[in-house]
Amino acid sequence: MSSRRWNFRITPVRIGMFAIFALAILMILFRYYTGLGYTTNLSDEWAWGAWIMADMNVIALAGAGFSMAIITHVFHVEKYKPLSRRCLLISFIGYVLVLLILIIEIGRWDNFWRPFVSPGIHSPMFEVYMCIVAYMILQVIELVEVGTEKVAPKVNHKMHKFMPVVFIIACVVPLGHQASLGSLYLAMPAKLDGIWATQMMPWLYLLSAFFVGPAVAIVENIWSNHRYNMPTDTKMLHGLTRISACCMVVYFVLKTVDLVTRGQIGNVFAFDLQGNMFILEMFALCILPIIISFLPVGKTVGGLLIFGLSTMVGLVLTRFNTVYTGMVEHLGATYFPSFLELFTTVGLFCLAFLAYLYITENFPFFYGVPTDAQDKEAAEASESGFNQAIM
Amino acid sequence: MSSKKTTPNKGVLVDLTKCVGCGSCTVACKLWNNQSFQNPENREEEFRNAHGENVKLDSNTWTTVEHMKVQKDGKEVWRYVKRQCMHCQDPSCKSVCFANAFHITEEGAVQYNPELCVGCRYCMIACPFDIPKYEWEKVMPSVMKCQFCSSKLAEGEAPACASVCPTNALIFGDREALLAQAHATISANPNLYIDHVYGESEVGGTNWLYISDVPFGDLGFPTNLPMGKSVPENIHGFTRFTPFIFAGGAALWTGVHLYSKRRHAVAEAEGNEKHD
Repeated sequence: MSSRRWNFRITPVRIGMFAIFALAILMILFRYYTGLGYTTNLSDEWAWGAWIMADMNVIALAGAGFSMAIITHVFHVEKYKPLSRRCLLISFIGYVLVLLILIIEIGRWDNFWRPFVSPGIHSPMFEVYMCIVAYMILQVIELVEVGTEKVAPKVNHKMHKFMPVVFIIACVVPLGHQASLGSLYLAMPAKLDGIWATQMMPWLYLLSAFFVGPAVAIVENIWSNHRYNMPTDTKMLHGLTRISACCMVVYFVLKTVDLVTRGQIGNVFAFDLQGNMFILEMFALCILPIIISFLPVGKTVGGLLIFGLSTMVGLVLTRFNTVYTGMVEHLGATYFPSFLELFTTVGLFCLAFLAYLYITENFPFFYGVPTDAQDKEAAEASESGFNQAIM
Repeated sequence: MSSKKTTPNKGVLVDLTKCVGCGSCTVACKLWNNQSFQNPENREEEFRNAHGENVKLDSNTWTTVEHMKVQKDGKEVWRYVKRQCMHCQDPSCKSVCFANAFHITEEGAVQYNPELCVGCRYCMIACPFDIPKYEWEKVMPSVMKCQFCSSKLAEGEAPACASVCPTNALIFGDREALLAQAHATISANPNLYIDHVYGESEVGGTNWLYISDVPFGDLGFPTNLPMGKSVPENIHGFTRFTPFIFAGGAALWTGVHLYSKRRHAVAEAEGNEKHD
């Protein structure tokens, strides 16, 4: 493989994304130079804003790596293996994105290492931090396994001896940070709106981060197929929606029981901002996807796409509703992110997207699909291989 | 609740019926803590009062006296509410800090150490009284809040604010003694005072205690706080499951992994008779 060529197709969209990213870098430098007060709309009331919201969402959506790993490496549902490898990549890029946003967001970025030497073990934030760091190390090992597959088969072969252990630990660690993210808000029982403020929060966060994984996988798969002009295996993807839908039913029941036992069900139908946002959240996260999954339309590409997007939107709403909607009554509606906060977030998302495109075009993340660097010949030869892998 | 300490917790009892809103305490605070009287965000505003209507705590103002017009017995009356860190006995800020930047002194003062702070601002969000403030205007900011004049406390002295109060609205002493005094004051004047010592059991108890003749809710005090139970206890309700999540998760996944692998092996050995 010495003649391996690295390739990155340049298109106008990609140039545009790179330009946005480059501008975002300038803005980030400006933020470091002038401070948070000058560049953001954060305040003593709204100490957490758009950046934290982006982080909470990306971590949850990056849970795709962990839930697909559980399905394929723990339950050994072989047919989903091609999806899980790309979800690992999406997940890893997601976590890098989270760290990049965090390092802009925190006030004393030069002190980022302090929790390692002065651990606040009683803080949910500590658990989030440690688990994410541990998980990213595991992800790097998993990615090295993928990377060496073609480049260094001998190393790859040796890695296979301990990979099952790595896979299992990598399925355990995210349980910690996905749940702890929900427990962050256990510290605000008197501030967060009653609809969301429950001891159940960590478990609900964990469960939703798990079942959004297949949704992300489905959307990514349909989009990739579109990219490479491949047929979409709707039967396989529909199986995935069933896994999610079962978890959604559990989530829906848990949340309903929780609202009823805490006497909050009346607030859901109070037709105020909080109630309406909650109904929207539940509709997008649970109700619509469950219906789609159990109707014939769930077996069509369109239905699958709506299933995936609706679940993802619902998940974003759950996080948005805890960070903003649930707190707005207490903190006052005085926050809207500054242009810089929004633009830097978009810029870093562009970077993440470009990284995804570059890596998938140069490394074997599509079973049987040639990377652009390989020959057209190989493309035709492996077409059948792809179909076999996906069936 | 807190660690094994030899010194009893110090506290301040604020009798809101006695406060005349002079603001001496806010000036004493600024002088002792060497804080500017200028608004760093608005240089045109030359002198900033930390007492008056709509005053707010900020990184440069650790205590305020808010002048509030409230209804009492059908009449409008003025009340003056001193605000500062309540110095919880089991503080949220300390418990949510993932870099251990907060600690409690022998005397019960909740201290912040900027050396360790990462600047995540979780303490600001988590504080039930919204006390910690941020140096937003600085490039390398720190969290700021009342430190209970801990160096004075260590010498057995009252904090700056309490030592200058001309009306005895601020009484410094051992928390337990102040609590008894507060209840004695209330029962001696049951018609004047609301029968509640604010801070006695709010979020598990605070070292600053308040008594008042106007309901605390009308004076901007949060009244929906957990009573007799601290916020850290609320978090601990979940975090105590953490070891079980990891151990249970590891055991469960390993079990399922071995089982499903074996099942696949058996299925293959049987010549793939099974379904898809």
